Amino acid sequence: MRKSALAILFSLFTICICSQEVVYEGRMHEDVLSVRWGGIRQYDEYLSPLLYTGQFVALQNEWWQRFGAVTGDGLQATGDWGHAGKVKLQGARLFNRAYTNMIYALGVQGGWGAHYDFCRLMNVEGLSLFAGPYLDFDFFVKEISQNVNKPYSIDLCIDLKAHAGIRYSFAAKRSSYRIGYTVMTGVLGAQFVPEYGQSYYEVTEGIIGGAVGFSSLHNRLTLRHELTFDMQFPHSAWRLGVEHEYVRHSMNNLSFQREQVSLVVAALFNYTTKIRKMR
Amino acid sequence: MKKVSAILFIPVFLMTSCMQEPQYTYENTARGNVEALWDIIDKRYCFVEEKGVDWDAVKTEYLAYADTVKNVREMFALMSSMLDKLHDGHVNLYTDFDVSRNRDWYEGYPEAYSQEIVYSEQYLGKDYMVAGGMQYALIHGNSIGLIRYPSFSSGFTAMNMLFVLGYFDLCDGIIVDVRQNGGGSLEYAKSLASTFMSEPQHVGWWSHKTGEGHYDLSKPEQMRVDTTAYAETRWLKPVVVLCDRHSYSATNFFVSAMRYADNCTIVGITTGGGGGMPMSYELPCGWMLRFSSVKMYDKQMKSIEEGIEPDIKREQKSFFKDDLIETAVQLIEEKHKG
Repeated sequence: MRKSALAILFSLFTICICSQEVVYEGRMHEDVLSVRWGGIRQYDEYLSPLLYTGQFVALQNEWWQRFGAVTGDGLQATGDWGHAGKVKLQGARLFNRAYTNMIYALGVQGGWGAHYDFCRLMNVEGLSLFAGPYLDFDFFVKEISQNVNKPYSIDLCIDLKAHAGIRYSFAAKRSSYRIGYTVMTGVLGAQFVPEYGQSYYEVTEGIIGGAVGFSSLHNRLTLRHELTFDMQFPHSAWRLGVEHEYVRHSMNNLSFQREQVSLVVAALFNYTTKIRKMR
Repeated sequence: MKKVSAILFIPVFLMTSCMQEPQYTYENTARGNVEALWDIIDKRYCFVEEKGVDWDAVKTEYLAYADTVKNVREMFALMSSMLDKLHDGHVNLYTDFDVSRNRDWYEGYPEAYSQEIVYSEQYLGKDYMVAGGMQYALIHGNSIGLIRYPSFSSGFTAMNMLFVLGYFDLCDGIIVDVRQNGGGSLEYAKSLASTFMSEPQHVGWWSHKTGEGHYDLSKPEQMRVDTTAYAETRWLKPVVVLCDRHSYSATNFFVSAMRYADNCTIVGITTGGGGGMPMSYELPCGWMLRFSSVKMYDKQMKSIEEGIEPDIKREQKSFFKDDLIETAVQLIEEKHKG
């Protein structure tokens, strides 16, 4: 018990040390490592006509960085354009209402996008407003082991999203805080949906002619938004937040929905990357 | 502070649930489940028309009974009876206490198999060998190899086949007995068929449901059997396949594919059929419904749902000998001499 407590304390200490603001020469870079836990609702007409609900856990790493040069003190990037990326791994377990069947799901999301910061146009202290395109990848595998010949269903999509957000930083009680809200919605892309009665056995035989199609607002609606609250402590920075994600898509006479709401706890790592000097 | 409040509260309204109830929502009552069952079969089952059943009339008839159901067992009995109208062995209802199954596709057909005789000393005996899902032995003075494959749920490897064919190396022919084999994996059925083909064969077609209409089917795609990668696991001498009414599903496909093998004769009675690939779907009460949604055809685009006719029809009539094996032995001997 004592050893476990020591191990937990050591882990927390390590995270605190790691999440403090580290400043090198070069560009400002913010890395956010988060754990997400929450509820998920899933409707997959290919697998089942029933609505499934359950819980999920996710681990996400996202990073934010400005393009452009650095000012003399090495702390402020001056460019109005920035870029952001992320990788998210998630696992879920869902049940139908009758509790007779279960879905196991595993997912990977990733993406990268650029955004323009309008802060200079508005000239309000501490306020940042940004928007830009984002290339997003969503892969979510679901399994109902009791289903014969079609135990799996895959949500697979690559799409271009519109990404926007607002952040407001302020200082209070000898510390600084930041409130942020980011929103992302799909515009166009490509998605994979097996045909109405198609089995994955046929898919593995290479029959995927009608299973890949164009996706846009007419057949795929995605909304991912997150409300965050960042707190800067003496040696570390932390984030608390709520994320909501909703995906609704249809193709080949099949419709799908997925909704997730999660609580976000994250450690923030702020640093500037080192500049390589020419010899 | 006003700005902070605004930023905080606007998104909270946006985070309200977007989820819509599924399109096909039925109440979890006897009536709701009967309606869901009818709807799933109507829209997703690929043989509604081929079975010649008036499915609309079935709905009217059974919905009238739905309100009289008192417990889950009665509901199960009602739904089982409803599914029986399809006379399909691939249509089942799975519950925690029972599984519905139709027997019409094999009951009343002639017998073509006797387990007691097949496992008697004159054929497989008690000391037959087992390689993967295959049971095998030498018969008829060691001149003929007999492979019995009771279920395609059990597989085999190339090494298994290598040993079996090595054991039968000096034989004049092989008998492959798939009687009472109710199916299993299509992949194993294809692998076994590939052993008896000298080159890749187009053996049939398949198409799946693409929409809710009874005739909404995809453009048929070729079903092919590739030849085995190793020459040592290929048998091009005479082969006889024995089948009966219980040769069903993947076995039905195997028998259909073997019609295009190089040196094969099919002996027995018409197979049970099951030429659809079954899949599962749930009812509101959580029971699992199994039905076919992928339709398979032979090379001539004839549905194999109702079974495959053998080249030589034989029934099991003798009490002491296996009439089908004896016919197969005779055929192999004739081919060897001729």
